[in-house]
Amino acid sequence: MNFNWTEDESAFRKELRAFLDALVPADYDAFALGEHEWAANSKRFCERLAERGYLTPSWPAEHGGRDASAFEQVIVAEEMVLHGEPRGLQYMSVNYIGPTIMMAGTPEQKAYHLGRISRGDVLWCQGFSEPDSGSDLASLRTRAVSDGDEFVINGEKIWTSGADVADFCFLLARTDPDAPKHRGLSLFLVPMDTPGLEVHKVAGVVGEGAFHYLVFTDVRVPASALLGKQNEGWSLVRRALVFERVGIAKYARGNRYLDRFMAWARAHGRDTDPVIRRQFAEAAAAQEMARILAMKVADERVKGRPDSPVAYVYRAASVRAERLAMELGIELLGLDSIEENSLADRQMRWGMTAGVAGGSAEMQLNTIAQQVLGLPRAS
Amino acid sequence: MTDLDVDRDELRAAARDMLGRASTSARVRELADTPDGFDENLWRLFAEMGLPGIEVSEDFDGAGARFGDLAVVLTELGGHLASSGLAATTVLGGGALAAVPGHTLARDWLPRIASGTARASSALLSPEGEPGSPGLRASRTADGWRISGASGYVPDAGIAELLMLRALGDDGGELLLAVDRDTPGLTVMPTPMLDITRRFSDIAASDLVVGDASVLAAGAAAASAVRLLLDRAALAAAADALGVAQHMLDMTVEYAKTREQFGRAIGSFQAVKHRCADMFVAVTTARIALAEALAAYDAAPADATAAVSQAKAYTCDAAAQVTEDGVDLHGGIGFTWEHDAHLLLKRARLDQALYGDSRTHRRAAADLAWVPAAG
Repeated sequence: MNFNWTEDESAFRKELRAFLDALVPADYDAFALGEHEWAANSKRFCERLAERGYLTPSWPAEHGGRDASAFEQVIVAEEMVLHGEPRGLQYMSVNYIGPTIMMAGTPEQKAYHLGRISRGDVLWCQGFSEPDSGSDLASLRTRAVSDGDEFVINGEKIWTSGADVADFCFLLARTDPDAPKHRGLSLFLVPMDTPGLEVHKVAGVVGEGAFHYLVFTDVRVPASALLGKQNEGWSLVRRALVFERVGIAKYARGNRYLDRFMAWARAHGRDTDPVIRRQFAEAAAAQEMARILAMKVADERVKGRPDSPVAYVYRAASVRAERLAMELGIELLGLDSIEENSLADRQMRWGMTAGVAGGSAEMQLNTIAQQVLGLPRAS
Repeated sequence: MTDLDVDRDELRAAARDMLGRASTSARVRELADTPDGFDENLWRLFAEMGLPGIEVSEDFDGAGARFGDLAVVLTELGGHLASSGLAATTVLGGGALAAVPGHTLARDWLPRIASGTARASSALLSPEGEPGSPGLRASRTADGWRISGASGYVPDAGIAELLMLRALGDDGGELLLAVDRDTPGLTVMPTPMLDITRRFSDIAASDLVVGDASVLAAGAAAASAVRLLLDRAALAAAADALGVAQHMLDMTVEYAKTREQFGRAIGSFQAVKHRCADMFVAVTTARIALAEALAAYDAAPADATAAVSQAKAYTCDAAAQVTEDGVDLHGGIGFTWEHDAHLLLKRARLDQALYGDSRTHRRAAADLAWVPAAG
């Protein structure tokens, strides 16, 4: 392949892989476990990763990192995925919640939160979506009203992964109901044990208790919980999500499934079936395209072009790759693929949710059409 | 991580600028009505820019650049619906001779190719266009070979002075030969294609007798040279298709911004917007897949086959889809002869079918990725 890992990068991967091999049980899959189980494991694993400098290598040294390149972040993402994501949802705090706090936090917020995130002993959940605000996120209605040196929060959040085990919520709420919808939003760092904050389970297909519904009733947080300037939360979230794009390596997970499907096909004499071989070739090519695009996203980051449209293309290509891997599993295993805990079960779940999780695929297409191609908005 | 982008912007801009002026839609259509589709003026411009010799070694008066540089030019040719023998001469002509740099014929012809004073092409496929085995047969004579049989879809054979022939010898080994196009016993018959922007011929050999001096390579050396030529041809088709797809994307987005229905630009409708965005995703992914395969080829040509097959199938399928979408999104005007949409669609379809279709390449990629199925 044309982009060759440098010697240092290869050495880093080798060292990280050896460490993870020893630390994480073979066939570990955080998202196949109950929430409390993966969360307990996550803190145990991440504290060990942090001790060795593997949790936040791409962070600046002053915040507990060592200024490693975006490519090392890619290596971390790939190796974590290949080991069943031992970080659990801590990948979110490392990839974008921490970097957003670096960008906009007060010295106190940085000292407290970045310290905890880089030590691996804190779990965050993301409070963005609401029952009536999905793709149209900026229409959200959860209110945060300033009251002396506190904010009072009322409203509902939904599809929140990890809320039952999280220590903090990265919350987007409306602070100015009279401003245009994108201009009245603010970000808050809310402790999950604050009185008035209730967590309810929403049964999802990806795993028992993976989603939650949060109800905020007169939840009082100090003014120091506000991240960045009041009413400037939207632009901060947009910049935060740019950070999120480096460091997600679903193709590595997809390739792991393709390897398993291949081994199964060989063991069952299906590897000569031309239909299976063709489907395998298509699925493998899609994973490879996603991988190359991930490298390109990291490359754009290194070159100081974090807003490059390649990031949107990467997302779209990842969805396709997830689906093709799922379809291969179904074709190969037939009825067995629908059985719980079958070889294809996990990939089925990833494939099913791929088009929605992390923002719908259609919204990505709108963004490409409007921001990259310059096509006009609807109204 | 080593750099992903080799900077070829200058070359791209120069080729684009030249072709934008010399290969207009009107000119492409004029050439379509000529017997050999050859544009003397365009060829002169190619030569002035040094394009025929871009990849030829400096030992033979070329620029000594990489195949990846040539591919940038090929993509611009596709985007401007241009041909005039440049792809055939560089990818297949110069490519075959460069595989045997010590050969007298390479020393004779490569400087002429580099200076733009000669054109060449290669006959690699069966009469049906299959890359798997040659359609020409060679039987040993006392001091050379007697060639018979046929080969299909030879690009720009009609305007080439030198033709490379791939043949299967009666000893079971492959041969790669070089002959003057006008050698007695060799017939070149134009094959009209739906893609009217390029020219292909069938060639037939009957009692074509060549001396040993015409043999560029034999046996294993010939087989590996042919393998490389087929990979080059596949990459060239993909590079061409990428240019075609990019042109269709640009044209379609422009149309969606200006064409109004129901009182607003059709590009403001999500049904249109999403198809344009899908086209962009396909073109961007194809560009990166092709760049990856080109870099693999330039780093180690013999080890690049899996990446080449993957990129050929992906890029050409993407171009076929993008050109179809583009025709659709242009509505009725897209179905007219006067509009360029059909020229792009047909060129993309030919790229997809040439030098191994997508099914063939995907199967090859699976065989390489997935230990070959027994038997």
